[in-house]
Amino acid sequence: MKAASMESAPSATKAPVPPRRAARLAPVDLVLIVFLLPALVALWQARSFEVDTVVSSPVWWDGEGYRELARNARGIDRAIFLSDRIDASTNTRLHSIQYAIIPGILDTELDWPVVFRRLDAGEYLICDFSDPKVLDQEIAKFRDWGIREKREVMVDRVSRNIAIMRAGERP
Amino acid sequence: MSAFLVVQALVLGGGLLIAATAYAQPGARFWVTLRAALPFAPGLGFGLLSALWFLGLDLAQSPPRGLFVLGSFFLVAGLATLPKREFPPDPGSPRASGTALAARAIFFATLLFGLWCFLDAVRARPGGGFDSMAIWNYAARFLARAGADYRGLILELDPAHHMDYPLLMSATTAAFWTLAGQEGHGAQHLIQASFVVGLPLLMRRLLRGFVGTIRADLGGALVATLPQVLIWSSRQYADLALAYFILAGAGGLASRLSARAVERPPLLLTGFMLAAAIWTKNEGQPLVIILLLGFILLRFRDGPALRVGKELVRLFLGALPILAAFVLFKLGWAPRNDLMAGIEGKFAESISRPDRWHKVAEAFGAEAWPFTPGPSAEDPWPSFRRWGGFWPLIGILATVGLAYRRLRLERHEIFLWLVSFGGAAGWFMVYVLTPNDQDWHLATSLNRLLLQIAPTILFTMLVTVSPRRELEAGAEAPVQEVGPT
Repeated sequence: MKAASMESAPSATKAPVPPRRAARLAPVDLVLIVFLLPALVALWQARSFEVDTVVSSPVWWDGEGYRELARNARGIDRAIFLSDRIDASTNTRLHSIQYAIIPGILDTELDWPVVFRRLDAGEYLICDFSDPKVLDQEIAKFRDWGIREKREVMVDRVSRNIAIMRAGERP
Repeated sequence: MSAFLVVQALVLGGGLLIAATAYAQPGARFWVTLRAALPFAPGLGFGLLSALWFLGLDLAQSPPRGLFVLGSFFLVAGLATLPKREFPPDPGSPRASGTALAARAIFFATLLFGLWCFLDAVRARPGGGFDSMAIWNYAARFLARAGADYRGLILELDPAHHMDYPLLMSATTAAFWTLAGQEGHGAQHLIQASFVVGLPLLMRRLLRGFVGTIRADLGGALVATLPQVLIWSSRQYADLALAYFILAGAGGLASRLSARAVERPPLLLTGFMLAAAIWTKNEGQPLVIILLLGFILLRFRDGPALRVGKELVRLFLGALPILAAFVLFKLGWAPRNDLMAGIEGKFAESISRPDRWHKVAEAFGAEAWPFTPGPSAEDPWPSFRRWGGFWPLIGILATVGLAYRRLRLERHEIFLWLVSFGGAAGWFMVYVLTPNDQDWHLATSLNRLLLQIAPTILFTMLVTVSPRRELEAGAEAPVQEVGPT
């Protein structure tokens, strides 16, 4: 680079290089160095973390349903989840997104009611509803949508509560 | 990945060029200016990219691709011509001592080690963590796929995804995907890696004038080795970016309040960083309010009102591009913040229950105490593995600093203590008032919220234990290479 050469070339015009400064470490600097050691150990440990406290919390982990989901959805790498599950302890709706934590299953998460509109070919829609009747209704809606949009739809009823749906190519 | 790397190079190069232009002053050498501007490159690059991206969607209904083509042209032209400008010869600077060289070696070694650990952690979890899937990457997909339609969709989405959160990370990711022509987590990895490197560089740069180069190197190394930085960056959360912007804002404003001959980042740049903090996360808003209030109060105490007014105008002008995007997003796009809506209904009840205060105090204590037992089902991440002794160090530095100084702090130090205390107290109250399940909220986010202010607290303590007389009497002179005074 030209700038580099400009920095070093006019050495004749440079001021003489002053002698080295005699810097010394204060006690505080020694304390900082001492604390660097446990920090390095902790950093080394942290790089291989495995457990996600959010997922491991019972509030966030409805084990059986998701294990079933993982078993049935193995091989799916792009999916959309819908859920109406309520956490009884806090009376709040569980995030549909939490299913995303199951490794390797999904990469895309969308929400009702935009989900049908955005469903691409090859993407999976996985519905998990506490009430099987509601799931029946959603499957019927999905089939109607397929007819309206002239898209082939496939529904795989995994369990009473869970169904995996797919849509064919857009016309 | 290579397409992401090209986008990354252009964005960081653009950020560096703009920061260098802001830093440039008559007599400053090119490489010295570039080095001073380097820590600000990620903040400027990603902040500007996300704001322009969003403004394009809002105002023109499409991502401003043409603008980026034009920007790339100016970037290449700027980089090609800037080094050809006339720069004065090197005036000669004192040669670093062996101790200073050793400290520098420690800094760069820990920086590389931190980056290596980050890459290792990313390989173990390439998809990120819970919030990145639920919030940041979720919004990024909508922005990238739906474009301007996002405006209509955002209110239909589940509030659990916090669609009111600002868009610095999401819009930056969406912009990467669109410019690269592909989606993938490589974009988020590169963005986070920039902050993993940028935060220690920024800490070191801002500290130099206040504490000397040796202590600045050690301070930067302590940030580079902070496990929380690794954990939340590899999970693609926005908290590290917010920590970076808050430190940039606090350091920039502190340098203006200081009577010492320290390097002073341009006010335009500091204003931009403050705005980027509120554009990164909602938590940035109260932190920036604390920063600005502290600055204004202390500045007006002894500065002429006209000069202070001019400084505030410059801060505002720097903040303008991002502020425009933020205001348009909050007023025209985002739903109401669910946390605030929940707090209003339960405010009196929450604040009057001692058990809620006690629980938060206990959680803060548990976070700070490093010697918790090994992993358990309840707490798989004891605080040592999260913080590596960071908080005990802060306690030691605070005690030593205040005892040494006999509480006679300089103006910029009062400001920094105000910001550090204000931030911690603010987060304490958030957990007292939270409308969510308090146990769950504390367990899942306190450590991240503390990360947002941890670098600024370390900065505060290192400045406090480095009084002016020690620097003047000791071996190291304060460093001021560039930057307007």
